[in-house]
Order: sequence, then C-alpha cells, then structure tokens
Amino acid sequence: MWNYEKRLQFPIDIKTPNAEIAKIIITQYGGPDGELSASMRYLSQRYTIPYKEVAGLLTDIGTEELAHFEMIGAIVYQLTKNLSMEEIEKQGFSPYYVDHTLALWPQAAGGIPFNACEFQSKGDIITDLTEDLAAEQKARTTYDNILRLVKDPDVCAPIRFLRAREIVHFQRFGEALRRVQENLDPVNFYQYNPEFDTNPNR
Amino acid sequence: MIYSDSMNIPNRSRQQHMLKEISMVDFAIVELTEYLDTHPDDEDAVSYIKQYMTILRKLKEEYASLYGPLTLYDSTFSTNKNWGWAKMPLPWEGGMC
Repeated sequence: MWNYEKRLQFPIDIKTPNAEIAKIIITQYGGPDGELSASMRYLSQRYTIPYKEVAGLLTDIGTEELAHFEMIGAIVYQLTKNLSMEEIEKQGFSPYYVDHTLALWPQAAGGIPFNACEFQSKGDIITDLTEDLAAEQKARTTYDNILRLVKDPDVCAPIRFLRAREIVHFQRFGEALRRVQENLDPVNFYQYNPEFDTNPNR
Repeated sequence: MIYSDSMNIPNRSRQQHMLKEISMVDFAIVELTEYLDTHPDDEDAVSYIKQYMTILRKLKEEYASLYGPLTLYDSTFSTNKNWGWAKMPLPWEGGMC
C-alpha cells in the first residue's frame, strides 16, 4: 500500500508560463522514457522476482518514480496555468488544448498517448534488470535533451534533480544485477530462469 | 487561520523554510533506503538513516503542530481542532515543496 504526502519531492515554483516548453516536458509524464513508464515497469516486474532485496529495490525506486511523475505533472501544470487564448494559439498549444483544455494527460511530446508497450515486464530477472538499466539511461538522455531546449532556471532546477536521480537508479540496478548473478552459475548465468524454473513441477 | 490563503508573508516564508528542511532530510532517507537495498550490511549507512529518521520525525511533528499535517498520520500532531488534512495546500500549486 502507499501513503500520500502533500508535498513535492523537490520544490517547483515556475513564475513564467510557457506552453512551448510544456509541450516538450510532457513527454516525461506519458512518453516512452517517462516517469509513468518507469514506475509501472518497476512496480509490475517485482512480483515474480525471487530475490527479496531486488523486489524491495524495485518497490522503492518504483515509488520514487511516482513522486517524479507528480513533479513532471506540477511542471507542466505551472507552465500552462493562466495561459490566455492568444498564448495558447501562438505557442502552438491548440492541438493539446482542443482535447484536454489545460488538464494533464499522459502523452509523448509528439502527441502519442501513453502505452504499456513502452515498457516490459518479461519474467526473467536478467532481462528485466537490463531493461531497467537501459530505461534509466534513456530517461537521462531525455533530460539532457530537455536541458538543451529549456533556459528558464525555475524549470531547469527540478529537471537537473530528476536527471541526477536517473544516474543513481542506474547505479542501484547495476548493483542489483551483480547480486543476482552472484547467486547464479558463474559458468552460465542463463542455465535456468530463477523466476520460472525453480518450481519443481516444471 | 493557519490554513488560510491569506497567510502573512513572514509566516509563509518560515513555513517554506521548514518544508525545505523536511524535503532535504526526507531526500537523504530516500537515497539511503535505495542504497541499503543493495548494501544491507553497511553499518554506517544504517546509522545515518536512523539519525535522519529521528530528525524527520521531529521536523514533521513541529511542522504539523504549526501548519497542519503533510500526511494523514501527522494529523495527530496538529494542534488545530479542525480536520486539517483536507485543508492543506496542494503541492503542485507552487511556492511549496
């Protein structure tokens, strides 16, 4: 279960609305390498993992990703709050506005809706942890790209924080993969799938 | 009065300062939790996280008694007789952590 706290993980206080930037940053809300994908990926993978500490890590990181999902939501919300009709039209926000007004909806920067096909939950711990390592790097690259496009320091500060978290999570998943491999046959890590083949009925 | 939107400025800035402190300490705990998931035998990290958890509990009690609860479970620390939880500011509205 979860416990909600009425605060953001990192403060967000954007003084200048900017729909152009909002259209880019929304990709981390519902895009392929976004925070929603990250959270759903880790929280789905954990159930069948036979190593308690790795399932625990996926739970803890998956939970932190929910806090990041909320941070991205707050950034997009503040960037589009109080926009005039003229700003909506001039800043290219009309296609989003017509479907969602100023509400939050998970989509990629190009308008592609959030889709569970953006992540995997494969039921093989080496496969899943390798996917998780890649996911953290893909999100880090996205934040690097965002930082090249955005100049407003009120927006850059939380984006830099999120970028740094991707690097830490990459480190933690690497350690988890190493711990898993220490439990497996060093001659052949793939001799059996510890999430499936340990059941004596198979 | 504590929950009103017309909070005076010095009060609000003190509240923001306290919230920032809570966020900093809580962040240390998040970071240490994930570290301990892959290093459960690191005694230094265990002693750090316990230290930060004690600090966080005190900060949250103090915050709740002054400004209201950040979590439902902090409600018991709130000195306000009214049900503070529903009246707390929304985190995405800006200016607050």
